[in-house]
Amino acid sequence: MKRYLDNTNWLILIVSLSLFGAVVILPVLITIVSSFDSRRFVGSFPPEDLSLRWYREFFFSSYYMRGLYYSVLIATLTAILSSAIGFLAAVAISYSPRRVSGTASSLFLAPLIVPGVVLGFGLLFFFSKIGISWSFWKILIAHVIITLPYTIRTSLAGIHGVRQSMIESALSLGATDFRVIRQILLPIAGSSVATGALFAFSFSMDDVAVTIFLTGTDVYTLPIAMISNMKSDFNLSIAAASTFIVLMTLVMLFILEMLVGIDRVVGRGIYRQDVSR
Amino acid sequence: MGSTPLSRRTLLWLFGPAILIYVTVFMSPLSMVIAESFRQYVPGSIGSSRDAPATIANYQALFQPAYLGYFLDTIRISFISTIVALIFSYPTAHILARTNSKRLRVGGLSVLLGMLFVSVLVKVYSIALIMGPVGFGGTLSRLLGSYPTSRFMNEISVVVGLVSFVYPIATLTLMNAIQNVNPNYVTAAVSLGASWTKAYLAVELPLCRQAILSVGITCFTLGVSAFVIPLILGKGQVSFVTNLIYTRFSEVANYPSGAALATSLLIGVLLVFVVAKASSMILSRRGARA
Repeated sequence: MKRYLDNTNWLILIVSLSLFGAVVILPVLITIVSSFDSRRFVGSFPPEDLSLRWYREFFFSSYYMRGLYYSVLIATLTAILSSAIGFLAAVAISYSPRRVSGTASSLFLAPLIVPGVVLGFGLLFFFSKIGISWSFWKILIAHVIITLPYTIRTSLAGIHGVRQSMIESALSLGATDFRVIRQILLPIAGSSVATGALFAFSFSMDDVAVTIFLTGTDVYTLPIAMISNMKSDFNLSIAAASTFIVLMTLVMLFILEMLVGIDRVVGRGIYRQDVSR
Repeated sequence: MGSTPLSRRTLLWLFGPAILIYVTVFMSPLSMVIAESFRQYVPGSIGSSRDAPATIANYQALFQPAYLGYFLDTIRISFISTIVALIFSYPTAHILARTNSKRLRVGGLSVLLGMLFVSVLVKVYSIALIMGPVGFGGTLSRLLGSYPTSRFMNEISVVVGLVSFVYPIATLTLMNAIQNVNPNYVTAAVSLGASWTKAYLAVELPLCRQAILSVGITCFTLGVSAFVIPLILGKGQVSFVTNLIYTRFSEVANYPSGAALATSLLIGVLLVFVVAKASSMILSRRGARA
């Protein structure tokens, strides 16, 4: 009986790993291969002949490229603004009295709970009320608010590693508060802040639910362009766009690995500190 | 004790930008949605009339069976996806947490983080491609005794989409929890005669129950809030409340009704969180007693 149960253990493991493969990895791999299909239609897999025609379609389409341009621009600005504001807020949370920091951090994490569509719908009213009509500002502001919880969280983790005594000695030697923040907290928490910026960039590049309420005919993001193509004409130029995004993701992961190391992003837990050293 | 190294004025300056942003572009839009939901809808005009009396008609309309169906579909499909994601992420999380092989761990983590970062659009498109007529959709539907364009198959596509969306998050979070369970407890149980399976189920799993609950809640709320996944994979046959809210804006221009839907969704999600928080507190109290 015992042996039998141990075998089911392995069975569960194998089933769960193959489901992971089938649901999470395989579709993406098929998309990548399909993006090189030379046929003009979405044919059966695997493609008979390979070509770069869908990439030509993607990179020469002014519709996609406009979306890509605004996506990258907005994501870059979002990453900078959100990580800067998030870092300052995280410093404030870390050095506030308990009661204040508790309230503040739960307020700051609240956008994580609110469904994107609800916030997008609300921002639609908000922007029409205060009279902002250029979609660029609408999308940028929206992306800053939806990424702030992530940048605040990662910054908090970085500041957590700063020894209190360092700050106290700097202050007692006459440093101003802002000098302490600039010369002690920022350098030590730097890689966490950068990780947060990277998260903000990638979430901004990815958002649809909030953005779809705020786009205009001249300003839209790549995901919005892909969605509208998926609904109107399901062709393989979207596969080429997807492959391009996967490539960008890999670059981002590489930067993350360089910055902090993937193992450290996730953490080893309290019982396994020694193994990775 | 309560003193802080930084002065109160500095803290105020630091909090300033974030508070400003939260109040103006987070709290006020949400309150505008709530306010809009009590306005009267005038057909033909875009938006609602400003000076019309407050009404709860927009909420009453939600109790029609057609609307309730959207809510029930959203809840049911999100719940199924949550359970599937939990069942299949736990073993993977366990292995990545306990493995001694650095290569397996870093490799597994890279794939998980990669899948976490990969745009949901890529996932959705990929799943639409493989569930479509040229992918495995036809074969799978025949195996399940259905046909490729049936509502049932579209529901399966949505579940697959949601699972692939939440799987990396669930696995990474569970992994963190399992790492913090002392592995010696399991070994002790085995040396006292339990099988490995029993040791995991009776020792490790209960110690992670709070994490499992919170991962479940996260998956469920992510599912309920999902927009792109049902929009593309539901093919119009399976729609979530989020999709309905969007059509109130894009097709019908019935803002008060959309606002009522949005407010109900928001309240629903908040309720789930409150209930989860309460049950997690009960769980931890029981854990402390044991």
